[in-house]
Order: sequence, then C-alpha cells, then structure tokens
Amino acid sequence: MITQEVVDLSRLQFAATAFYHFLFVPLTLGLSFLLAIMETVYVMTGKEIYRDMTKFWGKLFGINFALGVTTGITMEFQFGTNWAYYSHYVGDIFGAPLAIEGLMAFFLESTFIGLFFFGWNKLSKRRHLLITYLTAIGSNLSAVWILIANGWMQNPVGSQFSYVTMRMEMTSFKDLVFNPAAQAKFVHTVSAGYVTGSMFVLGISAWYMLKGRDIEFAKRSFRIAAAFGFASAMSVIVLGDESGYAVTEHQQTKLAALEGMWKTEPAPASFTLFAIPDDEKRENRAEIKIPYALGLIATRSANTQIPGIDELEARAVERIKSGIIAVKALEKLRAKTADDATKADFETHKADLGYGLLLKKYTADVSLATPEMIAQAARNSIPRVAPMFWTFRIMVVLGFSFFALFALSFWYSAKNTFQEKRWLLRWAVWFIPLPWIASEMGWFVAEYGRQPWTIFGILPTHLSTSTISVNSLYGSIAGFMFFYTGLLVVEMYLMFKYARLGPSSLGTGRYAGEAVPALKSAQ
Amino acid sequence: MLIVLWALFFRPVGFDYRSKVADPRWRSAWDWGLFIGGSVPALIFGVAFGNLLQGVPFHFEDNLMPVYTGTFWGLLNPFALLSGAVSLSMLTFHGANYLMIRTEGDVYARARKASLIFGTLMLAAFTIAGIWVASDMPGYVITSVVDPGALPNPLDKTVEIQTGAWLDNFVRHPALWAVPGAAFAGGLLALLFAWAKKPVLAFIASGVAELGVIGTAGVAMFPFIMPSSSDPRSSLTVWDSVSSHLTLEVMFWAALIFTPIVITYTGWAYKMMAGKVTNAYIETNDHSAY
Repeated sequence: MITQEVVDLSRLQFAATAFYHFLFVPLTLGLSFLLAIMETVYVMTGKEIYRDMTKFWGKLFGINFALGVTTGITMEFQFGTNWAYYSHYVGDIFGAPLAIEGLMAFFLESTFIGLFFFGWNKLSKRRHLLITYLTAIGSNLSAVWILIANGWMQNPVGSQFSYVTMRMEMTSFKDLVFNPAAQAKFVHTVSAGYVTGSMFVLGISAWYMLKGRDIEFAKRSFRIAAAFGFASAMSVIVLGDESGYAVTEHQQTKLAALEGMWKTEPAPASFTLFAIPDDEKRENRAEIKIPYALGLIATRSANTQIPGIDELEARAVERIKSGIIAVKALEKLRAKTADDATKADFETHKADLGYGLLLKKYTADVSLATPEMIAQAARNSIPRVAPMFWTFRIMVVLGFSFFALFALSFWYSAKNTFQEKRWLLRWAVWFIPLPWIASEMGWFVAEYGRQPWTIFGILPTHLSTSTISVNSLYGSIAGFMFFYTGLLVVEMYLMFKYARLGPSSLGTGRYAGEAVPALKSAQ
Repeated sequence: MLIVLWALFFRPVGFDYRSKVADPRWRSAWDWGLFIGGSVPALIFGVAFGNLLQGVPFHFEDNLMPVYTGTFWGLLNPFALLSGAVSLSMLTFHGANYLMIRTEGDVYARARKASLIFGTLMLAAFTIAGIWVASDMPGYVITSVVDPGALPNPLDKTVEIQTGAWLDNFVRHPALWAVPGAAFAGGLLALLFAWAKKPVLAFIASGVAELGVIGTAGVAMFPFIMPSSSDPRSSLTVWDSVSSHLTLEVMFWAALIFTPIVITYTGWAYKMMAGKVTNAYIETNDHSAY
C-alpha cells in the first residue's frame, strides 16, 4: 500500500541522493575542460609546467570523478527501486535519453579517464591530448542527455498517453531532443559546472600564492581559471535568463511561486526584489519591488501578462474537473466497458488526465471528489512560495558575485598584478564552496518548483512511487546516509590532503616542499 | 538490488583511492572494498537470475502498478544461491584467465590456480542447476494466443505453470542444445588451456562458456522475462515488456551507430595499454600512474 509516508520518504531519499550526486558533477564538468585547456597549452608550447598542471589538477579531478560515478549509479537504480510506477508510466520516453547517455557519453568518459591517468607514458603527446578532450566531451555529453530527460519532466513534449499500455509513449524523438526547456537547462547547467571548476582552481591557486609557494605553477593555473571562469560566469547568467524564459512559457506555476506573485498584475509585472512570503496568509510582507522588471525579463514584451497564483489555481480547478471525466472514461476503457461516447469523452479530456489524477491523493474514486478536495488539489498544484522565493534569490545573488570576482581576477591577471592583490586572493579562497551552494539552489528551484508533479501536468508525484514498505525505505535511507557520509569524509580528506600537498604530490622533485622531509629530520 | 548498489559503490572509488595514501592498512581496506564491489554484484546477479527462473511473487493492479508480495529473504532460496554460485565462479574463472594474460611470476601462478578451481566449480554448479531445472522446477507456458504485434499489455494473456516446462524450447528446437553445449565445451576447453598455460585461448574459451551459460537461461525462459509465481497472468514476456515502436526504432539506430564506436575505442584503449604488467613497470611509474 502506498501511503503518504512512502511518498514523502521516497522524495526525501531521491532529493538527498540527487543533491549529493550534484556535489561532484559540476566539478567534473568544469575541471575536465580546464584540464583540456592546460594540456593544449602544454602540447603547443612544450613547457613541462603545463603538463604538471594537467597532472596535478587531474589528480583532484580523479578523486572527485570517482564519487561522481558512484553516486550517479544510485540515481539510475532509484528509478527502478523507488519510482517503479514512474518508470512504467514514462519509461518509454524517459528511458531513451538515459540509455543513449550510457552508450554515447558514459562509456566514452569512463574509458578515456582510465587512459588519461594510465596513458601518460604509453601515448604520444597528441594522442594523450585527444584522450583528455574525449573525457571532457564525454562528461559534457552525459549532461546533454540527462538534461534532455530532465527537460522532458519539466516540459513533456513529443509524447502522448496510450490507454492500452497505460503509459506515455514517444511520438517525436526530435521534439524530445530539441525541447527548448532541455536546451536552456543544458547550457545553464554546464556553464555552472565551468564556473565551479574555475572557482576551484582559482581558489586553490590563490591559496598557494598567499602561502608564497609554487608561485609559477599557481600563477599559470590562476590565469587560466580566471579567463575560463569569466566567460563561464557571463554565460551562466545569460543562459540562466534563457532558462527562466523557458519557465515562463512552460511552467507558470513555478514562475509565480519563485516570484511570490499571488495576484496577477497588469503587464509588465513588477519584480519583487525582497519580501517575506507567507504561505498561510497568501501575501508578502516587507516587499521591495522594481516596477515593470519581471514582465520585461520573463516575457520579453511590455504587454504579455504573467498569471499570479490565484489565477493559476482557478485554472487548475477547471482542469481538475475536466480531468475527472478523463479518469472515469479511462477506467471504463481499461475495464473494456467503454462505448463510443466514453471514448470521445476520453479524447476530449485526456489533456487534463494528470489533473484528474491529482485527486487520487484524496480519494480512490475521483468521481466522489468533493469541491473541498478539488480546491485543495488546486491549491497544491502550486509549489510552496517561501522556499522557492529564497533559494532562487540566493542562487541569483551568488551568480552575480561570481561574475564580479572573475571579472576582477581576469582584469588583474590581464594587468599581471593579481599576485600583489592579496585581498583578491583571499576572496578567491573564501569563494571556493559557493558555486556548489548556487548549483544546489538551482536544482532545488527546478525540481521543487515542479511539484506536485514528477512529469509536469502529466503524472503526480504521489502516484509515481513503488509499492515498498516504510521500513525498507528507512533502511535504505539509513544505508545511504552511512555510506555517503563515509565516502564524503574520505573524499574530503583526500581533496584537502592533495590540495595541501600541491604539485609536489607528482614526485617530480621540482615543487615546494619536496625537500622538506630532509629538512625536518635535520631540525 | 540495494546490496548490489552499495557493493558497486566500492568499485570506482576503490580503483581511484587505493593508492592515494601510503599506508598498507589504507591500501588493504580499499582492496577489500574492491573485492566486495566485484564479488557481491557477481553473486547477486546470479541470485536474481535464479529467482527469475523460479518466478517471482508479484502482480499488476488495474492501472499496471506492479506490486511485489514476497519478502527479501524469500529471494535468497537454495536454487537462487546455486545460480549465484554459477555466476560468481563463472566470472572469477574468466577474470583469472584474463589476469594470466596480463601478468607473470607469482600473480600468474595464483591466477592459474584460481582459474582451475573456479572453472571446475562453475561446471559443477551449472550441471546441478541444469538437472534441478529439468527434474523438479516449475516452468511457465503461455496458454492464450499471442499476437506479438499488439500493443503491449501484460494482463491480456493466460499463463500456466508446468514442471519441466523450461525444457520445452530445447525439445521444440533441438539445435538449441548447442547453447548449453557451448557452456560445457567452452568451460572444459578453458580449463584445459589454463592448465596448459595458454591464457589467451583459455580467455576466449571461458568467454564462450559465459555466453553459453547466460544463453541457456535465456533460451529456457523465452519468451518470459519475469514470470510471476503468485499471479502467472501478470508475468512479463518479451512481447509485453517492449517500448513503443518509435522508441525501439530510435534505440535501434543509436545502438547500431554507437556500439561499434564504443567497441572500437575500447579495443583501442586495451591495445594502448596492452602488454604484461611487470614489477619493474609499476616501480618506475609509481608517482605518475595516479
């Protein structure tokens, strides 16, 4: 029996493991290209220091990559173990990009990462460079397909429901791949990864410079990270705006929630800079608004209206009522007692089938739904405002601050005075963890904002789970907590250990600290 | 499945982390991790196959929501564990043959010993499992007319349980006996080659044996994928587990294009890294390897 507790625990487990997975993904995406850039410089100039840079940052990349892969397996497993009905209902569409991801991207990156580490002496310079590029391309292709799958959850195009097989079936692969929601998400997400990778290299290099060690190594790394990070931070903002535009079109509930827009305003709507949203009273306190800004940003026009939450709920009530007819007709079709009139009913109302299914949370037989239940379901069709409002704003503020830091770093590295600007270096060190926070906030906005759906407008979250017991869920969550905490401790230990060791960990005898053991024993 | 997942955790992490701290205890802990990450999934995949052959207690509700009505411990029954032994010994056998190709000296001698032991175990376990299936095991038969072209709906058929029915396909098409035949022939030849210190040939032969073993289970069960012991009608067959036509078509092209590419670059990667791994090589590359 699927209870609310099963649904909540399944969501908690998926959210926790997904957040955890995404601690490792952005660094893989960003660092892989930084490695490719460093190695390109090495192959072009023949300067050994660039090879050492590639190797050293590659070591840190490897520590991170191992956990990215490990936690990624969890994600794919969970669709089967915890979201069985989801897998049945949309596997026909959702499965294809995941399978292609494995075939096209995952095999590529995981084969070549092996050669990246073990092939330094067995391959020619150019061949090894090719390997590094293929690893980078592989991990980014991986992101393409995963985000196509995710984009479809947000904006389910190219598919339709079949009552014989009781599932969604693909009608156009092209629509699925070129889903505007997926495209915007992909570029926004990989740019965020590039920012993360750049900030990582920038911060650690800055730390070496503050410590006055491995200066040549750190300066070169800093410059590359500053340039790449500057471009990426710019693109993350521009493409985040594009992503927001896609949301305006396809997910009005998400937009209304993250803007805390309770009432429809005359176009162009104002942008709420600050407010304390109150989900109970359905209003914002202490609002600071910028007139017209939201309407212009989100719709890119001066006269398109953005619906507020009240209006969206009223629309949801209508769709739920229409959905009830679809659900009833579907039950007859399944029982093979449907006449032509029922079939016609189903065809007319099937676009609202998902809205009818929303009522299954309150009653097994949707035709018995009371007006209160319908009102409640409509209310729950909007994600809660306060969490959306805040996470979105934290993400945006962080995004702009990254841009500012990279702009300064780039400016001073062009003038070649950055090593004297100790305040800048200190800021760079403090900024290291922030891109992760921004990325996780971004995912929160995207996925929490999709509620109460797993597939937006099609399949409600509370119908998507497996029929598993609460006990086995507690067991699996405890297991994940145990293993994941252990793995994180080990990974952080290694990261800090190798970041502290710096390039001396390569054992070339050219870097700071390598003669230290002898000195220490002398003291 | 969660056991497999948690065991798999150790693999990527283990490979990367085992040399990162120069402490024998650290190395040994991660090597145990790698051992668990390799052996547990190998065992559990076999256990899963053993359960598929027996049928699993589950059914579909009207909206095609699958419901499992068994317990976790019910999955660890004697036949399933025997199947687990088949897959674990089979994969260890194959791995040992590969290790013989890539090594020399002590490691080579140990790999050869492992190959001989696990090859024998595999053949023994596979034989016992075969006799068990033929004499005492309920198989599943579709009793309604099947329209392979119809839209997939698992509840649209009737299914019966008959003892020994898993041999029907072999009886109907005697040529299929070649599949278990390949398992035995490959296994025996691989043992022989390992004994005669011809690791490349042993590796090829144990590869054939693997295809034979997995193929035997596949042939026996066809067209069933996951039979239901509690509600045979809910059993999944190849016809009612398929994706839609378009999805299959997309995946067909994707596989046709990418599988050869994957095989090519994987082959290239192996070729680049080919050759015996010797003590001298490991020592000279101590720092740069990873």
